[in-house]
Amino acid sequence: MKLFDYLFFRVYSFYKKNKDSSPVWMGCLVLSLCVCFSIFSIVALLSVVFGLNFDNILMPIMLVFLILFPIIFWRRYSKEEPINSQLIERFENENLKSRFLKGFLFVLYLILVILIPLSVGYMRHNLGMNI
Amino acid sequence: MGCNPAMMVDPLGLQSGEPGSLLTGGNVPGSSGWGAISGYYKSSLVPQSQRPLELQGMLGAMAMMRILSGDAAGYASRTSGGGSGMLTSYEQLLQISYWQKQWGDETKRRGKSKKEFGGPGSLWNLMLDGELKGKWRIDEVDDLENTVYYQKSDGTYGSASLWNAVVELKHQNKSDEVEYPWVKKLNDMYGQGTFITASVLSFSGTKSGKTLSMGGAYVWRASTYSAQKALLTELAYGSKTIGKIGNNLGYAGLVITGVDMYMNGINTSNSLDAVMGIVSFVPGWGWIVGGVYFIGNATVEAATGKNIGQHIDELIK
Repeated sequence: MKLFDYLFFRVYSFYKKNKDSSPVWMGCLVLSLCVCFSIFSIVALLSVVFGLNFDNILMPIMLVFLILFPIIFWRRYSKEEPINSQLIERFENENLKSRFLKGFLFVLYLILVILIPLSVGYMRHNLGMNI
Repeated sequence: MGCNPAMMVDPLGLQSGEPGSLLTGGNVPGSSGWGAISGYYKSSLVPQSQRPLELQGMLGAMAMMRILSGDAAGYASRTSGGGSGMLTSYEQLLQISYWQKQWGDETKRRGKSKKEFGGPGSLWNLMLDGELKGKWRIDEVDDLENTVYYQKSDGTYGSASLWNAVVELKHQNKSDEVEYPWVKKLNDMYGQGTFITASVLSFSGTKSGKTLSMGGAYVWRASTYSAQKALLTELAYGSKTIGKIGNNLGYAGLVITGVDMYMNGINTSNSLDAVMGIVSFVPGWGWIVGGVYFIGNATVEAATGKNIGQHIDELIK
C-alpha cells in the first residue's frame, strides 16, 4: 500500500500544482490506469509464455477493472480527508534527487506496462509472428 | 509425333502468338527442334523422383513447357543468329543450365518470400488452407504451376501467380480485416462518444460556456447577489463534475484502445487515439488538442465514412 500511497501522492501533487479542479480524482485515475495496464501486461505475458488465450474475456474483464479500481482508490484517498494530509506529511520532505529518481522510475514503469501488451499485439497481428 | 499442335492449350488461356502466350508462333511441336530434344526431355514427364538429376526440382512446369514445345531451339536460333534452327547438344545443355539457374534464383526468391509470410496462421498458410478472409475466394492453389485460381467478390473468376496473389492478399488483409471487429467497433464508437464530452469540457472553460451554463447573461444580470453567488457555486461544482467525467472517459478510452491494439494489432487509427488519449491527460492545452482531434475525427468520419487514421493509411498506400 505504501507504493500506491506514494504514487498517488506524486500524481496528486502534479495535478494540484497545475491547478486541476479535482487532483484527488486524477490521482485515482492515473493509479488505476497503471494497475489496469499492469494486469493487462501480465495477461499478455501469460498468453506468450504459457499460450493461455484470454482474448474472448479480456475486454469484459478490463471494463470491470476500469470501473472497479477508480472506485477502490477513490474510497481510500477521498473519503477520509486526513489521509491526504498524512501523505503530504510523510512524503513532502523528500529530497530532490530521490524525488526525481522515483518519478523517473514511475514514468518508466508506466511506459513499460503499456508497451508490453502493445508489442505483443504488434508482433502477432502486424508482423504475423506466432507467439 | 503424338502431340497435335491444335491440342496445345496455353495455361494462361491466351491464343498462340498473343503477347504473353507461351505458345509462340513458329514453335509448334514437331516443327522446330522438337524432335531433337524431345527424346531427352520426355523423361521429364515421368514422376519427379525418376527424372534426370538436373531436372529434379529445378525446372518449373512453365520452363518445361517451353522446352517441350520446341522453344528451346527457337530461342537459341534467334539469339545465336546461326539460322540453322537447331542447337548442338552442348548448346542445348548450356541453354538448360541457364534456365535452371534462372529458375533456381526464382525459387530462392519465392522461398524467401515464403519465409516472410510463413509460419502457422500466417497469410501464406491461410491462403493455402483457403481460410483467408479477403475479397478473393481461393478456389485452387496449383503449387506445380505456381498459380492461384480465385473468384472475386463480384463473381468473376481469375488467376494470378502465387507471388502476386500473396502480395495482393496481404494488401487486402492489411487494409480491411481485423481479427476482432467488435473490439475495433467498440473503440471507434467510444472515440466518437468521447469527443462530445471533450468539446463540452473545453467549452465550459470559456466565458461564453460559463455564461450559457448559467442560463445566459440575462439570468445573471437579473439575479440578486445571493442568487449570483449560488449560481457561481453551482458552476464551480458543475465544471468540476464535467471535468471528472471528461477525465474518466479519457482514462477508459486509453485502456480500450490498448486492448484494441493488443487484439487487432497496431494501425494508424488506434495509434492516433492512444496518443490523443494520453495528450488529453495533460491539463490545459492537452484538453484542447484532444478535444480538437476527437471533434475533427468525428466530423471527418461523418462526412467521408472513414476516420482520420484510415485516410492516412490510404494516403500511405
